[in-house]
Amino acid sequence: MRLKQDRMNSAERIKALFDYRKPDHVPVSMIAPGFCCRNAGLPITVAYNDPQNNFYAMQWTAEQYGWDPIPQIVRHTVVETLDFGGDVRLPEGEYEGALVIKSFPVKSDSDVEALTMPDPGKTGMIGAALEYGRLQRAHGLPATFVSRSPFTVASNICGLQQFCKWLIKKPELCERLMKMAIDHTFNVLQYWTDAFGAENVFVFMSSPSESNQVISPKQFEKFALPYHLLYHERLKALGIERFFFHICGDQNANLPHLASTSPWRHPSILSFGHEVNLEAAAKYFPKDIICGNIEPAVIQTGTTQQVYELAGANLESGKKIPGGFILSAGCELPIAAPACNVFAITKAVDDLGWY
Amino acid sequence: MSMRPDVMSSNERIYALLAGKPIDRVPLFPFIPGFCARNVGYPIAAMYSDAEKSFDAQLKTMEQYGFDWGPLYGYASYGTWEFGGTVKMPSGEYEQAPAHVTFPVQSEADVSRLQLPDVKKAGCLPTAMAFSKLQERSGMPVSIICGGNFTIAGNICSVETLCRWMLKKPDLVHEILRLATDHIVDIVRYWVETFGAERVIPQIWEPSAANYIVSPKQFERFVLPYFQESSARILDMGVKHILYHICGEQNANLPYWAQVPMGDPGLASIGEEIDAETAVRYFGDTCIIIGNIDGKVILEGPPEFLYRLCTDTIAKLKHAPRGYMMCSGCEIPPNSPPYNVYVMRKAINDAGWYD
Repeated sequence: MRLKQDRMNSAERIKALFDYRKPDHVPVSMIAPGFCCRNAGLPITVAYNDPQNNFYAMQWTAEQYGWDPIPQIVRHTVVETLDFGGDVRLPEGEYEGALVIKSFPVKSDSDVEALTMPDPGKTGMIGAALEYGRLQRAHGLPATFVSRSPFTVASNICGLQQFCKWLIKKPELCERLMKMAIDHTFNVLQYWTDAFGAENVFVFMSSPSESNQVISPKQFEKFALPYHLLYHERLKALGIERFFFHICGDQNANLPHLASTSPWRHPSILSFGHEVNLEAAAKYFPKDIICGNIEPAVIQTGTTQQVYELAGANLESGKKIPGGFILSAGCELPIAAPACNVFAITKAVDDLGWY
Repeated sequence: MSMRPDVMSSNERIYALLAGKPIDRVPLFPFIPGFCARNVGYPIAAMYSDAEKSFDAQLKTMEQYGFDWGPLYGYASYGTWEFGGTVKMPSGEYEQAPAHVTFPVQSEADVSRLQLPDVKKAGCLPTAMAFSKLQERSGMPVSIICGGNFTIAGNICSVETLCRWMLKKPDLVHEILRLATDHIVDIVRYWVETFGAERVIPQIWEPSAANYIVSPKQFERFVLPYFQESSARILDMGVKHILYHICGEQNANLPYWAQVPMGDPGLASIGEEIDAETAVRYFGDTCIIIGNIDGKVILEGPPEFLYRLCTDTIAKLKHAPRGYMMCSGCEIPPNSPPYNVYVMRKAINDAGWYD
């Protein structure tokens, strides 16, 4: 608790990052909708069905641990399985930390043909997400639009196993699903820009299904990459300025493809899993802000000292990154992470993260 | 990182308060072992069975939330194990401290067979001594925590039996209380011989004398004389301060508690059942007052309500003549949301400064 006094507030720190200036210290940002609920004594389901309580849980937790909302990363805006007619349920019990898919909207080849575009005004949990955005704006924060890559959205419509099979045997089905996925994402995003103005929307995208634990770099180049290019063409056309890309899991072999095109505005925030070396990431993306990448499993099951040391090692590499650096977990902060381990990250920044 | 920086270290603050000197802000006194275990990811049993882990978890948690004073070792069922009964370490989701399994006295005949325990070997005392050596090394106050005379007596024969015997066999009660009193003095003497009277601040927790269990008349007859005796004998050893945790609803006992010598200043820790003004009336001229934030509110209360409770309590007790330390009214529930514990320190930051 004997932490040094900040010389910038969060807004100034974020602005400095996007202006390629050094902030006072390395900012900390977490993907932590579930952890924030637990930390504030609320059930995890609040992250998905109670925007008001979830918003305050995130605000309070950010204050407690000194996190910066760059942006405030909330539950998904587009819940594709639900939006396209499948079924999901809220997390239950001690260990579930997010929505669980009960049934996919697409189960067979013929379902792909029969699939229709959802009405973004009526489907899924979009209403709750919009309410969350209103709370963010009312508190002077950008409204976060949390989406997944078209490849990931498509795989969640039919199930990842089926999608991977079709990549080899029936790629035209994958193409149709990805086309519908990107159209749906932008139909919903249009709601956000209409409601809040493009300049006030911070778009977040994650791409877990594209990791090399699932597909090869060739498959990435052939199937996933073209939709990244299309995504950013459309994002730029809408006038969206701020973009956060969580390149989830082991995507080392995909990075050259992303780097050769890097279709987003610069700087954007690029967040990496613990499988990626931060210095290598910085070489691939010199014009962007690098974010990452403490291993979440260590935060949950490691000792406080291990977390502190891992955060310290990240800071040592990250502080040298010319485009700017944000300290974070390599993916979502586990809901059962001990509070002391989460504080160890804050403490590491206080001890080692000042510029 | 948004807290106002402390002017004094925790040790400086505590020792200045005990010496009657000015301090920078209201200290935050810890009553928190089970929460510390949860906060760092240890089983709660480790807090009572492993001195090093217990000390480590408390130290880390206190640093995180800004507690003063330092780690403490003790539990309310003290006496059962030490006098020859058995206790079990807490397990499962809801148990938060060691619990009685078998009492050393189960019949009237057992009372005459009771013997004073060897304070170097009995029950938890070796672990408590190992813990106190860690306290000594860290420069923090060295505590020995045991139940009050009446609570130890209840832990020897069960509170139900003790209450029945107060009416039917008062001689047996006095016999057990005699042993409990001599045992408390023996333990403190062992601690004083090991660490010096200057360093030792005994803590005596007295839940079983609450008015939920005994009447004020019974308190006057069975509890007060033994407290007066053990306190006088402890203070005669050169100990300067004794902390009494006046646990639970003891309003009707307060006129008697005010007659118990607690040192100069004494330390009077009160439950939420005792009004702040009442506490000042009875103890303000002789004791530092410690308390009395309702543990139920820390566990379940909305943070805004807890914050107001803390700031209101600070306003009432901040200027108590001999000083005030904010604390929970009894142990902070282990499952309390981390944010709520942070809120207690935040309230001190906002309302507890002395300038």
